[in-house]
Amino acid sequence: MGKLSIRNVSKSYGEHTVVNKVTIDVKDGELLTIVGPSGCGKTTILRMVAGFIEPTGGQIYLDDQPLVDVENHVSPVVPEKRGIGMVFQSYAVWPHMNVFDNVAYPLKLRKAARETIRSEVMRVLKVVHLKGLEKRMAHELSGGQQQRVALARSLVMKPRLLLLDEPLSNLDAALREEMRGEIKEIQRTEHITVINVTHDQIEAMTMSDQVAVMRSGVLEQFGPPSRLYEAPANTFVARFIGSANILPATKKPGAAPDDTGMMEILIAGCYPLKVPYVDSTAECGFAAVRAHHMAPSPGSPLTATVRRVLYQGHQIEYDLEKPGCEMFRLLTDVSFLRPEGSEVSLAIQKAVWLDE
Amino acid sequence: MPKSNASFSKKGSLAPTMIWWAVVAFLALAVIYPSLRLILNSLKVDGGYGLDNYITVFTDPGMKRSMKNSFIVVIPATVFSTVIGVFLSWVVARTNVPGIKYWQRLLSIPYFIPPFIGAIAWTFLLGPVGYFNKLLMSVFHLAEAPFNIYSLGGMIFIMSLYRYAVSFIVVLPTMRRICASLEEAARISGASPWRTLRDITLPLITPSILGAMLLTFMFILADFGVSSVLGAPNQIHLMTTQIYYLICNSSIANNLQIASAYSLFLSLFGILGLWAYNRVLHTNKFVVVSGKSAAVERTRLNQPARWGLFAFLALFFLFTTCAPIIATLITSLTKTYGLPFTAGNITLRNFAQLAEIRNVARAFKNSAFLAVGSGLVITIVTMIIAYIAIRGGGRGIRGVRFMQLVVVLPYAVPGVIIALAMILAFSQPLPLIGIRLYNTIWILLIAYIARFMNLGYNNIAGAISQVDASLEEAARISGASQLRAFCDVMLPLLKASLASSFFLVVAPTLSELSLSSLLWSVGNETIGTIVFSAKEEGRILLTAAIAIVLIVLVVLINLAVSSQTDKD
Repeated sequence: MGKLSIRNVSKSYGEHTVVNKVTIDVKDGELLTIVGPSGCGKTTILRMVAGFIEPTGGQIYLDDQPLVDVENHVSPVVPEKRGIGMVFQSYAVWPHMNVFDNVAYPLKLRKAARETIRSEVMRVLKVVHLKGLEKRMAHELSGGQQQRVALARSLVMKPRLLLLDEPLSNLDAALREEMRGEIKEIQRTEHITVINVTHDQIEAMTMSDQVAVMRSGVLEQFGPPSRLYEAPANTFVARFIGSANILPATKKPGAAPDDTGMMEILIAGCYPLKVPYVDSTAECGFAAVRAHHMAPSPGSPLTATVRRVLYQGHQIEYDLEKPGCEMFRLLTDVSFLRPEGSEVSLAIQKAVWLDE
Repeated sequence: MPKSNASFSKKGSLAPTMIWWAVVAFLALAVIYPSLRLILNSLKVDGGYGLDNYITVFTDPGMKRSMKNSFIVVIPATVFSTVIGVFLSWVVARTNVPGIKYWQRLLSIPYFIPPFIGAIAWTFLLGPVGYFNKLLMSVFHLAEAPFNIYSLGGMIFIMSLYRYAVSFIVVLPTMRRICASLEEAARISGASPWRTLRDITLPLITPSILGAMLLTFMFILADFGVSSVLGAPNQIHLMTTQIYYLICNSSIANNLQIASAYSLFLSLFGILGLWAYNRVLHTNKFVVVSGKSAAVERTRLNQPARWGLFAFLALFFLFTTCAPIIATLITSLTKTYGLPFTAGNITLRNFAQLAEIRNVARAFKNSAFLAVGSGLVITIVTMIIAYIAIRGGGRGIRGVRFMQLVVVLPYAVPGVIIALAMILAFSQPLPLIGIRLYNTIWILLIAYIARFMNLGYNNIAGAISQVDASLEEAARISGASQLRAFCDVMLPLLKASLASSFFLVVAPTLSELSLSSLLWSVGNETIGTIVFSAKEEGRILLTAAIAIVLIVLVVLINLAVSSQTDKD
């Protein structure tokens, strides 16, 4: 139980459209992450699912029941009747209640028996590793602990769907990594569907079954992390997920796939390479090249100037400049050491063609 | 090098020390010495010291009645004011009632109008021949006026109408600041909007409501203007007016000593109120931690509810704020009180009189001098104390805490008591100097400064604590002395706050009544005492004209201050 379907959902404030016809399907028990830079509309989508914002168009269904359906005039279900759990960015742990009362609140509203409340609260507090802190007040908890309270509170009523609104963004790096693993673990053991919103692409890649990349209210690409990385839909996704180098590229009109499904393109006007076939008519486009798919190769036609050297101990990162291209990155092992201003010749092992 | 360093720091610290001691000396004269005289005097009995005055206070039937009256008025008025203020702040902060932008300003107006002017204005509506009473009598064919404003009920009514603005102004920011996700978390957990209000919103703002209630309590308990305007005709005394009549009535033996004892008893409530208020402020652990969460979502009311609420606000505003001002204006423009308001009866003569009557014109001049004078002194003195308290606290300047208390206390205590302390301290020539301040304008100035220092202090302390210490430290490390760093860095940053401190003091001093009514003398009248005596003498039209001028002045000053703070 917990199949969410967002169809053609839009939200505008007068002339200003913040979400434009977004369609996303989440299967039962999956973890979806909506990722994008701030102001891309990801939080708006989450709040429309929760019921705090009414969409101006489209439909949202949970397990084939309408939560809101603008075109068919189904008036939105109020948030308290949706049976959804949510963890807020600010955690929203009620400061006038202790940990136990915070977590017990959803069950109290559902008029559960006292014994049930007690045992259920204790169970989820154990799940989030807060056992023994039941009597603490919010201001006596660290940020990480407050977040666990918020998580426990959203889990205690066994929601069909759990919404996470940038829950990790206020935590320090080490704690963030720990919580990532725990949320994933809880999602598996409790078997709930989760929608997570973040601007952190590493979080999106490591936690999710599916990722939706948004920009300016538009869904740019939707799919499993590996597909986003291997086959980004455009330069925005390629840059945002795994920060690929984007180099200008050309291909012949009507280029066809060879028997291994590849086609030839010319990168930066000088470097021919076989890349996975893309069915497009564009002749000018871009090649997305990961930094570690590039290597120094004496005699290669692709040359660039070293502008910055960042020595990282286990590897060296070079920022390279080539006329007609934007600055791009190269990762080498420490044996390849070149000063700023020197020329390097490069070979590319792997790239992807992008129309735009 | 070490040698030159030492001499450098010595030279740098001399000037601040002298400024500090000058401030301490001033506070000793204006607050500490009068307070000691008051305490001493309360214990004085014929030929010695004892508790007889206190016994009189608690046994005399007239005084016991005034205590009872005070509580009959203060408790309901506090409750009504708070309920009205909290409700209105909820409407303005959390609903989508039409015209939200304007309501905040409009509903704050009663905060600026001196309550005794409000009381006088209402006598034109609900007095025996007031406009409302006459209207009701003719509509329902009544033989007598249905409302009598000269009563305890009238006092409760007027105090609630003018003091609700305290809770309105105190609670409004808290209502706004409640992090929306706290309420949304309750909604998504399954709570209805109503349940959310009960379980989350109200408990969260309770400390703020409690604080507002205590402030209101102190204001109402300290009231002198309303109770004397409405109580005088029927000889109804509250504690403050009882002290006033004791001081004025020299035919009672030991009247000043008994008044001192009574004053100290009354101060107890103000001091308790202040203590409780500070406790509420400091133990407020419900700090609403807010990330960068969505702006406060207003309760979306349906169309009829929105306009119903709008109509309620409009009626409330018209009835409580506009009606008395209009009644005063009409009165001030008529030839004879009680005549119908027709073209033939309109005159500007009453306003012309303001300039013609000698003591009225003088009162305006005196009040202007006192307002500007106390405004300037308070702005400077409180800036120094606040600066030393906030910045020098770690360096251990002795007595800063005590001086802070000295600044705050006179505001927590009814003005009549301050006036009594001033009389006791300055009616005799000062020891050592031999100057007698009583019957001069300087005793008024000192009293005003002592009473209103708190207003300036709170304002400037807030501003100073927002300026990061590193800004001045950067100037020091660049080579500026402490004084120089203060002048070059702190002063320019505080400019706007100093101006608002000045006007915060000027507004209430212009219309001051409780101090002035005991400390004025011929030639040293103030606007407050002139309005008051004109009303006592039954010169209704003149009273109305002065009241209108005063309302216009005070509202203009406050609008200037609030637009200034809005910009910041």
